[in-house]
Formats: sequence, structure tokens, C-alpha cells
Amino acid sequence: MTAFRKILIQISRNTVLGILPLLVGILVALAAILLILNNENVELRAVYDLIYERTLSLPENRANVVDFWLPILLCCCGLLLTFTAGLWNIGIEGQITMGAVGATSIALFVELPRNEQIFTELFMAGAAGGTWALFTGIMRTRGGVNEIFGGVAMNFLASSFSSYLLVAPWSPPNATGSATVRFPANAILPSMDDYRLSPITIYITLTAFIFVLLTLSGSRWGLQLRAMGKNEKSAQMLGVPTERNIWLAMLICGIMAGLAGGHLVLFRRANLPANVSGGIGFLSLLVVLLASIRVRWVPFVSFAFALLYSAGLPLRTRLQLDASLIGIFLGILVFCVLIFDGVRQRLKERVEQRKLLAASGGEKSPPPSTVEIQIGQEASSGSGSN
Amino acid sequence: MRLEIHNISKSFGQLKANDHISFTFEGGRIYAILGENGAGKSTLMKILSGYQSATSGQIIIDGKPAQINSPHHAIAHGIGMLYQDPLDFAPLTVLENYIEGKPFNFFMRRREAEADLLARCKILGFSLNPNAMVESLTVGERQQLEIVRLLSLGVRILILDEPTTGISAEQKSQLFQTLKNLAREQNMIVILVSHKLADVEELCEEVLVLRRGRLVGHRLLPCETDILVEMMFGKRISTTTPQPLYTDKPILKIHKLSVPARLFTIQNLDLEVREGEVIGLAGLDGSGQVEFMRTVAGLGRPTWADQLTAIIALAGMWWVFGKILDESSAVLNLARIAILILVLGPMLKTLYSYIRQRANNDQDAQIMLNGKSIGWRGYRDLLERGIAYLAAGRLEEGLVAGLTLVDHSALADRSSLPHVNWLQAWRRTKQAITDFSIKGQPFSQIQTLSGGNQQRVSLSLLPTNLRLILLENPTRGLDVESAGHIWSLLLNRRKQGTAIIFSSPDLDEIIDYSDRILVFSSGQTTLVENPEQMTTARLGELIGGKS
Repeated sequence: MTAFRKILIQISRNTVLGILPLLVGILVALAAILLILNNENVELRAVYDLIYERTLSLPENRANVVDFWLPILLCCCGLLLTFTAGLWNIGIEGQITMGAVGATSIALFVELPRNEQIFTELFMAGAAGGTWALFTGIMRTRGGVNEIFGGVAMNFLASSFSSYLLVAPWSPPNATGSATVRFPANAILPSMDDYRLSPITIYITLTAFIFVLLTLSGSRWGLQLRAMGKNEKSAQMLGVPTERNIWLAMLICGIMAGLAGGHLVLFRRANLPANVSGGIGFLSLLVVLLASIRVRWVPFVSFAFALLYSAGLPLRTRLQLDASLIGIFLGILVFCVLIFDGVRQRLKERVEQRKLLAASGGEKSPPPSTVEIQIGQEASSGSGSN
Repeated sequence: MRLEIHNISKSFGQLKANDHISFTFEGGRIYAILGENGAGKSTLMKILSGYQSATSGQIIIDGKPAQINSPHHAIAHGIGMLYQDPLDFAPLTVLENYIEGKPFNFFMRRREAEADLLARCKILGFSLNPNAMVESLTVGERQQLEIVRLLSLGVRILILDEPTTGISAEQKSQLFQTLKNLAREQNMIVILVSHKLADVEELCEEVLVLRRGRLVGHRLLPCETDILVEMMFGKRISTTTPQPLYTDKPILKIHKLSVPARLFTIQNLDLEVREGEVIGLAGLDGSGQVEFMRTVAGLGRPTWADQLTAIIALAGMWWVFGKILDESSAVLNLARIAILILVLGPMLKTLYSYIRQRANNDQDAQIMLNGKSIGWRGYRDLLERGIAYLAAGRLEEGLVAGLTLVDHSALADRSSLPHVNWLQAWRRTKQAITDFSIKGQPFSQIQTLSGGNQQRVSLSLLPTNLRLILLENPTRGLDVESAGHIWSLLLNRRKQGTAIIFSSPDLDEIIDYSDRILVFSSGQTTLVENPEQMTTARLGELIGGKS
């Protein structure tokens, strides 16, 4: 067999193992959704038309989807770093919230020339999100607190702190504590002329994505994170500064999440509402997991989710579907993709295990004509002597 | 009792791990299976004990063909295997482990099981406390528990994989006596898989030798050791006693160090290690050898900075959670308290271990490298200063499964460049493959290499300018040839003045390679200055506490 043919077979095997289970998962999910829609007497064609019409047909709708997509992608970029290092940064919701709080603190109480104002707001957003994540990292390395528990605790703290601010010091006069006042125009991120999109957020997200892509594909730090994700103890024994890397990965993830939070309050809402993140942190966790922590898949998976979320509201109102059905559809999709991703992992493990066993099982046996040196009594067909 | 294997073959792709192996094992006899690493011994034993199924061939027990597809099936056919690291449940008691794997009953029937356990222990001459936690037992006691458990399940064919690793000479002779009794009195078949020819010669009556998956020899014992070695490797292996290369210059001074270990706390340890010296650490498993080396290497000991951070974070969290507890919602408060406990628990645990460690150590306790105190520094810092540590679990704590040899080379490189120079890493790997005789390719994933080759990779990754190498069981699971090669690589390091401290359960290895031996016994240490005058029996006595 030629080397070229071998490579082709390997590529096709990897492709089949990598993509086929995912496609099957999506197909199974679509079939299940179709069944539910059929039960609700809704035509699939009508659903498709509506999704297309409200998301991709008009430039404004497309811009709306992108606006929803950018903060998710930004969070995903941060999570790619922490997940690669084996850190389950569940606390990303809190980091988004604190980023939003940080940006709000400048937007409401500081008045600067426009450029400096925007820069300071974004700086505060990143710093607040980063610091919040760094706390979790420090608790992990110095206090022995698992980042999942630390993250959940920090989420609780962030949400409580934000609620406290909305109820007491930042509450507008005669308001119920559900949001701050609208920020002054000077404090809001500039928008594109034609579409409601923030060019600053686009630049930030693009930079973040390229940074993560380069870091994880070719840098020394990326290799160190990869090693830590596979085995932190061994990485430490090889001289990798594991503690510093944990702090740094958490800090950068927190900064990106904080900037995403900043975008939500400085552009989409123009004020700080209660539950500002709206679950995009958890959604980003899901996206990165569904993309199996692969950088190149993340933009596509996150865009698909942005699309579905953007279409959710019109689907409910126009087709008069029950509000919970949209959640159910998303749940089915995630569930099926995760199940078939599990199948994919299992298939991959099996292939790797076979390779491993083949490598450790013994050396290639010599051809039958080779005469073995036999010392002692008759071998091979010998029997226990009694 | 009669076990026949006919034409057992096992292939992994194009590779044949077992190639048409046929043999008949008779009841009442003890057999040894010998072979170098990768000879196919483990595969054959896994097939017999149900962990793997054969590609072709037949197993016949007492004249009846047996289909063995799982360990459960194997036990049902009376075949049980005792592993080098017994497959027990450390956090459970001896009795609970004994009950595990028994035919299912909803209730455990503890009293019945305890009486059964004690009766069996009495017959075999074992002394096991049913209520003791398994984690507090020595490896020898865990093996005894596993033997009793397997026998209670009706095992008539007992396979033992390296059973003498990690047990004392006294425990070994007790184990061997038990196995001889089982074979003779109960007509059982005992099969020993071992690299240690001395054990094979002491215990077994017949020996089978595998090479490249084939059965290449069968001998009755006793027979000359050289013949067995030649059958295993196809050539004669010469062993040479290393010449001492140490100078009088001390590189490491340890003063009044206390180290908490699993079984005992080592108190006030004093030791001076000289340049180029090899010090072997002997003792029962859990007596503190590993903990001592890890302490010197800066591993696993909390630093003052850890504690300061923990205390500040702890106080901060306590204050903040106190503020946010919501009086109106009991459920929410419960959830918050649960999280608080999950967060504070590990912090308190870390704090406790730090206080315990500091309380155990004298104020004057000191570790000095080249005349300078290394204080309470971490491993990475000490690696920069010339101390390296290689753990016994190569893939657990040393190498990263899933990464290639080139990846490892790139990781171990101390370059300050932000990007990886893959070409240079590849060249370094190629060089290491040649220099260290590694059987593998630069892009082979590390876990696909044999244990010996993994150890060679570990050694190749160590910085060149080391002052001290600490090794935990450096030749674990390696055959004579691989072990010899690893030692030749290590001993070469002495030429640059590097000192070596190693622990091993193999007393012969300790005596052969050490310039001095530090014996750990019941929390006390004894330094043996002249290992050349030491015998394994005497060393075993020292480990057992006889002065």
C-alpha cells in the first residue's frame, strides 16, 4: 500500500469518526423536533421560513444574530484556554456579571471624553471579569478548592452583588430594582452606520479568536496548557509552571468574559439589568463542550446557537408555540449531539486502545521459517511433566 | 486439577502477542512464566484470567472446554489472578473487601463473612483484622487478603503477577510457604509471573519461557540461572557491579527533618549526601521512603504562601457569605451554606496539613543544597536549582499520555521563546532516541512505548546539570536487560557529580547499586555504610526492626 493511500485512508477514517456521529446526532434531533412539531400541527416548512426570515433574510436581522453571536464567541475563546488546561471554569457567568458591573461603574459615575470613556469602561469590564476569575484560580492552586465549586461560589457572589447594587446604590429613583438608568450616549459603544453592530466588539472578538487560535496551535504556552489538561502532575514534573499557567488562563478567560459582559451593558442594553448575562456563560460552556474544545469548530457551533436563540422569540409568537417548546428543542439538540459525541469518543478510544495494545502486545512475530533457539526440553507443544 | 491450553494466539493487528502457545498445567505444581518485557506473558495471563479473549485457541479445564470472556467467567471456572498492586478498595475495611465479588445477597451478612474470613486466615496462617481499613495495610497484607478472597470464591488455579514486589523478606517467605501448601495440600495450580529469577528458583517446580509471543522453552527446576536468562533473551546478559564514584564533597545536607508517612512519621532525620554518591532507600511500602524523597524534591508540601492565601480567602468568603445570607429563603441559604462548605472544606484541609507538617518539624529542621537552604520551595524552583524527581508511576506523574516524544522534548525545553521550535524539538528527540536507545519514533505517543522505553524517555528529559536525582522504584516492571540499561544511564550521570537517591522494593537492587543504604523501619532510620557486606536477609531484618 502506498504511503499516499495510507494517508488517504487515515484521513477518511478520522473524518468518519469525527463528523459522522455528529451528523447522525443532529439528524436524530431534527427527527425528534419534527415529530413534536407535527404533533403541534406546525409545518416544518413554516418553521424553516420563519427562522430564515427572522435571522438571515434581512441585513438588520443578520446583524442582530451577529450581535448575539459575538459575546458568546468571546466567552468561548476564554473557555478554550481554560478547558485545554483542564480547568472547568463554571464561574464564567459570574465573570460576565462582574464585567458588566465594572463597565457600569464607569458608565454611570465617570465622565470622560468619548474615546477615553469607552476605553476606561472596557478596561474596567476586563479587569473586573479577570479579577473574579483569578480568585477562582488562586483558590484552586493555593486553597485546594476545585474550580467548579469555586466557580459556583463566585457566581453566587457576583449575582448577589449585582442584585444588591440594583436594589440599593445604583437603583434609579422610584424604580423596582430591575435595572439601572440608561447610560449617557457618551458611554455607549459606537455602532456601525448601517447596522446595529459594535465595531469595537468585532475587533476585540476577532483579536481574541486569533490569539487563542495561535496560542493553542503553535505556542509554547499552548503546548503547556495542553499537557496540563492531559495530566497536570506530569506537566509539573516536566518543569511546566502549572500554578502560573492556571492563574494566567483563568485571568485571560475572565478578561474575555468581562469584555463580553461589558458589551452586553454598553451596547445591547445601555443599562445594567438584573441577570445581565442571560445564561450566555453557560451557553458558551455548552458550545465549547459540543465543539470538543476544538478552536476551529467553535465559531460555527456558537453561530448555530446564536441563530437558534435569535429565532426563538419569533417562533414562539408567530407560530403560537408554547414558550417552553423552544427550550425543549434546544435541549433535544444538545442531548442528541452530546450522546453521539459520546459515541464518537468511545469509537476513538477503541481505535486508540487497539493501537496501544498492538504496540504493547509484543514485537512483530518472525516469519514461520525463522528457527527459534530452543534450550531445554521440547517447547511449544510441551506438557507438564508429572 | 488440570489446565490445558491449546494453540492460544492473540493478535493486535499484524502483531502477534501470543503465537500458538500450547501447554498442560497439572494440579499440585507451581509454575513460573518467564520472559522479557513484551514477550507475551501478561497477554497470556490476561487471557486465562478473562481480561482479554484469545484470537484463537482453546482452554480446557479438567477435560472440559471453557469459554472465558470476563474475569467473572474465569472465577466461575476457578481461575483467579493476584495482581502486583492488589485490586482492592483502599477506603473500605478488610471485611468489606472480602465480601466484594461474592454472589449477590441484598444484606452483607457481616458476622457470617467475618467468621469465614477468620477461619480461612487461621488455616493459611494469616493474621488479618477484619475491621482494619485496607489503606492501613502493607502490600503483603493486601496480598494475603486477596488470596483469601480468591480462595473463598472457589479459585483452584491461582495466577500471581510479581507478588514479591513491595513486601519484606519475611512476608515473602510466608507467602511462598502458603503457595506451596496450597499446591500440595489442595492440589491447586499456582502460576507465578515474575522477572525475579531468585523468586522463581525458590518457589517454582517448572518454568516456561516466552519470547516474542512464543513458548520457547520449558524446564524443570532447579536449573542454572544463566540458562534461564539465555532462554529469555536469546543471549547471555552480563551484569557488572558499579564502581563507586563519589567524592567527599557534600551536596545535600538534611538536618532534623520530620516526614509524616502513611504508617509512621519519620522523626529528626539527618543525612549528608556526597557528590556522585548513590543512596538506596529500603523499607516496607508506606514507611516513608517516598515521602522523604518528595519532601526533598519540594513536592506535596504546602508553603507558607499557600496558607496565607487560604486564610485570607477563607476569612473573606466567611464574611461575604455572612452578608448575603437571605433571611427570606431557607432553600437558598442551604444552597449557599453547601457551597460554603465545599469551598471552605479543602482550604481547611490544606491548612491542617500545613500546620501538621510544621508542628512535626523542629525549628532547626533544614535541607541544604550546596550549602544553601532550599527552605520550603516548590518542585519547579528546585528543578532549576538541580534537584529532579522521577516517580514510579511514569504515566501518572512524569510523562503525559496523549503527547508525542517530540511534544515532551518541547515541553522540557527551557527556551524563553514564545513559540515552539518544532524542528529543534524533533532533532533533540532523534538524538535522545539514539543516545538512550529508545525503541520508538519521534511522533510515537508516549503511552505506546514499553515501560523501559518510557523510563529512558524520562531520563532523557532531565536537565543535564543536575546535582541530585531522586528516583522512586526506577526499574519498576522492567526485565533484567532493561533494568540494566536504565542503571547504566543513571550511573553515567555520576561522572558529572550528580548524586542519586532511589527507593526500591527489590533489596538486591538496593544492595547492588548503593554506596550507602538508608533503612526505614517503624518511623526510625538506620544508615548502612557498607552495602557490600550486606545480605538481603540482613537487610530484611533491619527493615523488620531487628537491629
